[in-house]
Amino acid sequence: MKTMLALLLALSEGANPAGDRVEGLLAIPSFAPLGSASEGKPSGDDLARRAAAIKPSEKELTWLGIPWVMDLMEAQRLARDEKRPIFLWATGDDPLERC
Amino acid sequence: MPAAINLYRVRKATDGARELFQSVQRQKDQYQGVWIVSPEGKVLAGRQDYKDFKNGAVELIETMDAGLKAFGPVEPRRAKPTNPLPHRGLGVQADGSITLALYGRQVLGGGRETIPAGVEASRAWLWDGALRADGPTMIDSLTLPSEDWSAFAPQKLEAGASWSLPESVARKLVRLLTASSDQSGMPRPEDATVAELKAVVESVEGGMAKIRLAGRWEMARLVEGDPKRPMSAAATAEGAALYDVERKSVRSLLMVFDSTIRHGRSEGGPNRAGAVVEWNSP
Repeated sequence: MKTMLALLLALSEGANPAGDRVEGLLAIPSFAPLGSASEGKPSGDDLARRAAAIKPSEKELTWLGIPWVMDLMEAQRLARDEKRPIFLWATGDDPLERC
Repeated sequence: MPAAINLYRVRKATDGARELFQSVQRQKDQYQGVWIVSPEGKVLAGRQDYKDFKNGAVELIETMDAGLKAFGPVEPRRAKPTNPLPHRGLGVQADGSITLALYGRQVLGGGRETIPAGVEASRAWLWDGALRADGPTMIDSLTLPSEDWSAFAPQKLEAGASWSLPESVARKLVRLLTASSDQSGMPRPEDATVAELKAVVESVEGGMAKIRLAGRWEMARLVEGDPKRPMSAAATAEGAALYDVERKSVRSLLMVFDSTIRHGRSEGGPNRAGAVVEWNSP
């Protein structure tokens, strides 16, 4: 379901002023170097750098901030209460956990 | 009303969701994708395929607009951002399980000195330059039961103490080798032909043990069981963890995978993928 994710990413472009700031590596920045490149071991900073090159940016994850409802009946109940249609996204995996 | 559901799970629902979803699919036949549905269950619009992926966002908005036009005027929704997966990559559950946050994508760069053995010279350019993304991101989650998670904790709290994590734990990480969210391409634990993950205590200071992790994986599988569609991958990973000596618990974990992937005979050589495993205590 990469298509849907890419579309959500595109739709969220520019929605987050935080830009490419990467969070979540809470312990790593304070991690003393575990080794040096000359020893053939990556430092904690090096690992964090490599992780940041692979991980999605915060901007790319903006779509996860949408208040998704993962229970279809609950979504229908809320839609009735709020008198609005349901944007129903269904995939063969849990859409928010694997896409 | 944004709803995100697993179609396999909804098919088993006993609260009316199964019947509602079946009705939606009957009205607009799509295996998966997006439907715009009235609160009464009437499909107003839907989309599974896109004429032009580069223009896909516009096409999706057109679908949403079509649904809204059919529905009628709607007031803007006053909704606050939420975190629907508060435990993904964060904290330990009451039963001792944790959920790792996984990320992957195709990558380029990193330096030719990091090219693994067996890669064709014609593909060496894939490692030129700084490590960088080369495709859309893949997001995944992996829940480890408490017995698996406990394998990341050192038995001896002294520098140099090393241990091998159970192969059954290492096998669960084999899904990171392909950076594919497609179930047909995602390696399963049983696809691993090599799954090794080792750890060593690098130091114990200030109540924290610093742990280094290193592993290697190889896997082979047939895409959708088709003998004509073999795929294989190999990866190494390096990681770091912090272990709280007083609390006797892991405080953080970060691992970075570097994979090469071959589809079919891959006569031109492998493709590359990178992946990240991340977890932190609150």
